[in-house]
Amino acid sequence: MSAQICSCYDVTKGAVCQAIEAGCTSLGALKAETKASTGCGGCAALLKSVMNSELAKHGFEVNTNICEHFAYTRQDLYNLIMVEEIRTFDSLLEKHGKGKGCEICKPAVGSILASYWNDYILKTEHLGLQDTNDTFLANMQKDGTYSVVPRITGGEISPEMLIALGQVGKKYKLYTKITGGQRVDLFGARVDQLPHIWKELIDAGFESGHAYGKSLRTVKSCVGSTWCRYGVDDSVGLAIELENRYKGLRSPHKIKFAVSGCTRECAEAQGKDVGVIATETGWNLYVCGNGGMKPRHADLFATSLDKETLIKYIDRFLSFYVRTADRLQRTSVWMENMEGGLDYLKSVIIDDKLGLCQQLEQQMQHVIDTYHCEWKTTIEDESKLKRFRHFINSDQPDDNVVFVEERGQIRPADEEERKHFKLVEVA
Amino acid sequence: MAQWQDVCSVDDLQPDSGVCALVEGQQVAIFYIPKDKAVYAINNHDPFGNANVLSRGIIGDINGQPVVASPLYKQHFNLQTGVCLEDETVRIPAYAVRIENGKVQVSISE
Repeated sequence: MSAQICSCYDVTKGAVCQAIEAGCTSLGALKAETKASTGCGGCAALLKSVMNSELAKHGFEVNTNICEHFAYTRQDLYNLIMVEEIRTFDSLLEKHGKGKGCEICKPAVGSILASYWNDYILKTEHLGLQDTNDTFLANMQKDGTYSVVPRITGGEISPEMLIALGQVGKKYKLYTKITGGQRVDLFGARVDQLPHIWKELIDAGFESGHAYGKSLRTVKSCVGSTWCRYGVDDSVGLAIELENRYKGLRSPHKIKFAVSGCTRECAEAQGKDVGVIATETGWNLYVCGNGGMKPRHADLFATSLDKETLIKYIDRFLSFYVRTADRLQRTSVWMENMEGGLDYLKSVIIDDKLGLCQQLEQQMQHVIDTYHCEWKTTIEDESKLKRFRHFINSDQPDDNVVFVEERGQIRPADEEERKHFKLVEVA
Repeated sequence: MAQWQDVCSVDDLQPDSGVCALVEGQQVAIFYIPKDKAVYAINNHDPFGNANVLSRGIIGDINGQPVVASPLYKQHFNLQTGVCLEDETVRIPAYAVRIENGKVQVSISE
């Protein structure tokens, strides 16, 4: 039986290979022929990698250019930006690209620039590069409204903060849901409400959770030795420290951490990009795990580490990932594709085979030193707030956004409900 | 004949990005590329996602055509004609737009 590639349309690897042999040698043609990746789109990266390996097998030259505007891979672009100290998309395009750019290369370059220089991403010269969610520092939902996720480091939150969060949700009538990363997601915010919501959240002591970015999301933790009868070390304390250290780091894809206080692994650290588990002799570090579409158990990278060494390894690991991964490639796939695999990664990070470690640590230190809450920066800058309205020339909201109530909260109206609503409104 | 309506000031536009304006009850996405002195206007409604979001898409070019990619599912729309590159049977309204004395003007009716 051939492996399934696309679960929406039940397309197998066999069917994909057959289509390639029949002459579908581009992603567009392959999608049109097999329907693979035309449902939710979650398998697009997998489909592309199957296509590339099949094309290579059949002796075709595989085009690894990021898009038609740059005859380079993401890694090439990173190196060009680093070596030539390029600070804007326009100067990179002028020197090394052609045309005007697109929704592939712009966010990729925007991400590299942010990883390397850590400028404010809504600076005028960077704004047009940002992907859907980054442009408004919130997560766009199906109806064009946004969801808001403040940072709750390590999943630890005081009753006062929880109440403040609840008050914001209530005031703006937002749909409220607990996320998989131990924080709270507030849905149904209109674009004009975002700055008001964030003003209140920041006044209450919250900061951006970067749920909208390809960046560090959460460091999940179990309750650890502070409360748990079995806990071996303070997993919550370490989780908070790690989340505060790496928050704001832009990367090729999202990054998730977890810290467990003992081997029972209640934080599920072995399913994360970076996982840490407490032992009687120090911290064990796991890397390149993933949940999601293709779950991967993390690899045990180093054992019995003191905190200083642990952090040094994570600094190096993240910088190396940011520098060498492909666009939208999670650490798990990055590892799977790495020549030499885990042993190679160890030789780079632990043994400093490439002599890069000092540079990797400096790179991370720069990101840490230049951290700022993007939402705080945004609401303090009047000129940045002008964009946060639906119409540039009217205060009316978007009349296409319609909510109905379900289980005591709002949700977007479906097609049928919309028709009814419009009729009612006209009458 | 084009009926030009003043919509906003050129300073209200976002360089290399879009804004949405309300013109005669229509949602109009206006994109601005200062380097080329280019301005484009199409309807703001994404017919695939059925949401008013196209002004928030990334602009660029594909095979020389100026396009916006929908922020929802990334279909491309030609900024001059409104035709969808992935499905040419889908075409959204494109409007005449110009900058006159620092004012952005749109014409909805031909």
